[in-house]
This record gives sequence, C-alpha cells and structure tokens, in this order.
Amino acid sequence: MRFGKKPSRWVLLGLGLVSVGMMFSPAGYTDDFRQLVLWVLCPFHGAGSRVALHLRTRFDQITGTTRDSQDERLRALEHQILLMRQLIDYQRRQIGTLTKWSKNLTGFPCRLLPARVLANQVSPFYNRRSLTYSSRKVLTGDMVTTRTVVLEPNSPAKDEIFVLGRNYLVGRIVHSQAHMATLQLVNDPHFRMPALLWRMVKPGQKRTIYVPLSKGGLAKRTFSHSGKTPAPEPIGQPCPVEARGDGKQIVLKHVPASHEIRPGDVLTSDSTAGLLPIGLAIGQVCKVEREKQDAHFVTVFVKPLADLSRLQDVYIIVPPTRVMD
Amino acid sequence: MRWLFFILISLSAVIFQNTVCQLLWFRTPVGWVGPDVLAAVAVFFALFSRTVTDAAINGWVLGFLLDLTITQPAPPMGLLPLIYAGASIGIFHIRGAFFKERVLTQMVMSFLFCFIVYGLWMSWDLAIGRTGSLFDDAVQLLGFSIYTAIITPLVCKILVRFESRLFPVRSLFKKR
Repeated sequence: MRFGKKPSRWVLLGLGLVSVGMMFSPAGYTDDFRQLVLWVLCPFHGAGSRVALHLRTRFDQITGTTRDSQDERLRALEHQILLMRQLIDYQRRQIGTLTKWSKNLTGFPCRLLPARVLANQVSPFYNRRSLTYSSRKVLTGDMVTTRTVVLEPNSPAKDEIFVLGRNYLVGRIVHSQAHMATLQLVNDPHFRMPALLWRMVKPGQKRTIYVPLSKGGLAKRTFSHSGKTPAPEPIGQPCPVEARGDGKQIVLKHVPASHEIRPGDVLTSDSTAGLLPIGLAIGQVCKVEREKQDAHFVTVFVKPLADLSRLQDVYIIVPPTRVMD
Repeated sequence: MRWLFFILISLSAVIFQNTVCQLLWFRTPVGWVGPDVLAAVAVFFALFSRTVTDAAINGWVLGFLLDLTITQPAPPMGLLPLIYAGASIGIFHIRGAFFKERVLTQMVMSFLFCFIVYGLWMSWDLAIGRTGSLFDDAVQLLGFSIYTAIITPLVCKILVRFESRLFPVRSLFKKR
C-alpha cells in the first residue's frame, strides 16, 4: 500500500496506531473517555429509552386486548375486582402490621439516591447498565434497589423487612464517576455477594426442616404458616450462601442438601455482611439440582424477582457509614 | 465520501442500537440474543464504499463508537475498531465476487462480518480466561450473527436511499 498521494491512507494508519495506543493505555483513561461519551449521549439515550419503553408498553397493551373477546374481558374484569378486594383486605392487614413495626424502624441510616437507567449494554454478552444520578457520593460497591420504601423517614431496621417492602435488589455499582455509574446486574457472570437463602412456607402449608441444636447436631421440626398474611412466611434460620450470576440467573453452589431448599424459597441480601443494614429480596428459587461430585450438596438456581430487562428507575443505596460522614 | 453525513448516520445508529433496538432482543436459554445495527451499517459501507480506505475508516469509526458505548467488563478499548476495520477491508475485497444489491449477499456478508468480529472479540475473553461457558457463548454468537444477518437487508434498504448523498458521483471532467 502506497501512502504518498493518498491522504486517507495516512488517516487510516493514524487510526490504527490510535487503536493500538488505546489497547495498551491504562484502563482508567479509556474508562474516563467512555464515561464522558456516555454523558454526552445521555439526553439522546434518555429520549430513546422513553420511546422504547412507550413502544413496548403499547405493544403489550395491544397484544393483551386484541386477543380477548367481550365475554373473556368481562370475566377478566370480574376476576380483577375480586383480586382487588383481596388486595384491599391484605393491605389493611399489612397497615396494622406496619404500624406495630414502625417503632422498630426509626433511625434507619441508609440514604437512597434516585438514578435512571440510561442505556442497555450494546453487546449482549454481559449484563450491565449505565446509570445517571444527581449526587457525587456514589462509590463502587454500592448496592442498587428498585423501590423507595426504605427511603421513608420512619422506615427500616429489621432483617425481616424484605417480607414487607418488596425491595428487589438488582445489582451493585461497579464503576462510578460524577453523575454516571455502571450497574452490574445480579445475573451478570461477574456478580458475587454474600446472601441468605430463606425457606418459605405458604398459607395452609406445613414444612419439615432440620434445625441446628445448641448442643450440636440437627433436629427435625415442622413449621406451619401463621395465616396472618396471604404471603409466604420464612421459617427457621436462613442459609448463608454466595450469590453468583451466570449470565441468565443467579446460581448458588455448594448449598448443603440438608437444608432441603425447594423452588419458591427466597434469596435475600445478607444484612450481617456489612453491605446493607437490611435484607433485600433478590430472587426466588426456580430449580434445585444435586451436585454430581458430592451428593451432600446441591446447586440452587434463583430467578431475579425484578424484571431486569425493563429496569428504568432505580435507587442507589448509600451505606450507613458514609451517611454518618 | 461525505464524512459529516456518515458521522450523523453512525451516531443515530448507536442511539438506535442502545434504545429502541432493545425491543428486538429476546431471551434464550443461552442468554440474550439481539441484532447489532452497527455491524449492519458497517457491512453497508463496506459493500458500497468507493475505496478500500473509505470502507476501513468507516469500519473503524463504527467499531470505535460501539467500543465507547460498552460498559465494563470489556476487552481493552481499541480492539473492536481494529477488528471492525479489518472485517470491512475483507468484505470490500470479496464483494466483487457477488452482486452487492442482492439481499442474500448482504445477509451472508453480514453473517460473516458478525461471526468474525464477535468471534475474535470473544476469543480475547477466552484468552484471558474471562468467558463463562464456551458453548453458550458460541451458540449466542451464532444467534447474534444470524439475527444481524436478517436485519441487514432492511438497514441496507434504508441506507441505499442516502447512497447518492453519502457517495457523490465523481465528475469525469475535473475542473482545472
């Protein structure tokens, strides 16, 4: 290739050299550059995301309504009314429970920063999202949730709060800069965090599990649902596990088979690990497989409770230590 | 080649890919599969560019834009533009053997382009031991390439309308 009379070839050579230079430059500089570009594209991405969300919602509405006939729609409405009544009853009961709990929920030190999903990952090989937020206090390692319940001034402080609030943990911040951050979703292959696996019992159901004794050893105990709420209730002590993403869902390896984990059990964050002061629900067990190497252990597959493909508004949890600062 | 017009098209493609294009993605047992609009645009420019240098620069710019919008973890910045430029040069050189206006040609070229680009990109992950399941990734790559190949004729059909503006016909009688 002759370069003499063709200036565009010199440009191409320059671009090639720039590429090679970028490949061997420190990751920090290139990351900064990426963040800067994302920040410039932010308004366009925001507008595009809104269009996409609107289109998806409209599409769902259209596909949902056109299929049903008049009678089916009427039946669906009646069913909906029945469900709404049940929901009202449930919420009344929950208000009562919450009022009792409110005494324990004062002084919650965490702060939630509202953030918005700017754009989905371009390449489908990883599960990451870019976020925009208004504060500069976000650091790498901060967790991200979907709901504001813990923001209420009279809220949280008990481990069992996940039963009340339905705050789904969706991931953690892996890269943060002024007004921009990268959210690593819970199903990302690189996601790791200590978590607790709660065995649940549904209304009208009994479940027998092995409970560790104070002297040592295990004892068989049967638990039943209290019947106070229609929601499943946790029983026994939770099993500490390490939650890992595998690209599609969350995988918990080497869980002792004696815990008898079943589909429907709930995975929450570990409040004792120091990352979060409360347990936030992450996902629900969808499959349990016995490990081939050792039959005493099982591999548990957990489906995230939040719809990660439609994440729009999220909340970054600023840990208590930094709120104090 | 009108570069300003090309930059505008590239930026629109990046924003489209990041937002509205997400509606076209679907979940499979091996992970998410969706089309790469930027690869389709790169194939169009590789097929219709006047010179090989133009095709390579187009590929490099599109790869660079894609690289900029990837959040961590990703192979080091700069690898994707190089592969895009290389693949564009390859497509430019073999396009003479086909009728570039034909839908099948565009689909095959796009499939090859995606397979080479993302295959090499994944190989980097494999080389540094970061990939999870090789089989899953390979199947995902195949689905990704096929999906992109399907949408490429549509992208080409849209971009062909701007062909005269992107690649103005040179006058045979140059003014002296």
